[in-house]
Amino acid sequence: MDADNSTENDFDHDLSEKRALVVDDNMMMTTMSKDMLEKIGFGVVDVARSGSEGLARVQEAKEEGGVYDVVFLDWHMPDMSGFEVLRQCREDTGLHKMAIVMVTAENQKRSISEAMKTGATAYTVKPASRADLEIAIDTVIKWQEGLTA
Amino acid sequence: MRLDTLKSHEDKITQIVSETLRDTFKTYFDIDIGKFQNQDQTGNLADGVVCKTVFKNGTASGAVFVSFERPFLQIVSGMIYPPEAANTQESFHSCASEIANIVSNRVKTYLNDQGYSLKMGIPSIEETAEEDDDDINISFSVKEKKLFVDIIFKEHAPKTAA
Repeated sequence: MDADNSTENDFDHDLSEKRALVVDDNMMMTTMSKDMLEKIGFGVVDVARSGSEGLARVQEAKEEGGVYDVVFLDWHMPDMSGFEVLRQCREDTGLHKMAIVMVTAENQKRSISEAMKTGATAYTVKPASRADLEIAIDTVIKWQEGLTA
Repeated sequence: MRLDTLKSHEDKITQIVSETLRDTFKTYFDIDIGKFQNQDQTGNLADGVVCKTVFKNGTASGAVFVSFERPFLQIVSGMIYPPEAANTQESFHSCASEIANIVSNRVKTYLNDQGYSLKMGIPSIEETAEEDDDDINISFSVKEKKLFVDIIFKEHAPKTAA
């Protein structure tokens, strides 16, 4: 699949209790991302195929008392953009510990800056390798440790 | 800065597209793509899949067409999906759309760096790639299968007040 197709989890952090959500309208990306994140060690990796479905899954999880630890979010989607999902999530104080990693082909500096200012925890430009995702996850873990310190 | 003609930026755009495709195929599929050849042939293949991404603002518009031979998509689809899901239109289209999405974003970023504020649409599957006198046509070889990238871009005369 990806260039680094190792099946062993040699990532430094234990993610077995962590829950992730991948939001991308492209089936190839959801398939690849889910596979990579499971190999990295996430206990649960759910998938949403649109911005509105992603937002609904996030709200649903919150209401059930199990907020996702991290959402991997595409930018350009037909019904609701990833940026809009990011904006709405950051307006919800009940989701303040949920990390949001933008994983997108959108690579304009202005867009990256806008996403980070709006509350993205990390930003990864496609094509994203397993190593790129691990760097983003490392940033997420440090950010979440900072919240609880 | 603005473009005089799209052709005058052919070398730079060709470099961006080539680097993007090399990076994408290496990262996602561990495949090395062959050297590109510029040629005046659009990617209208007898048995192909064409993916179009439109970008525009008030005074300019354009599109990137990425065209794949179907056997090429069968190869990459087989690397992502289990056998029962690999050989379907949906899997072919998802692979084509994602590759087109990445390439088109890079082209859009380059054009915006030249002074445009283009917005980009979502890639869609089309019957054919459009042709234009000022278009850029680039072709690649991947595992002996062909892939074409065709780019068109136009500035429109501003509307004058009556």
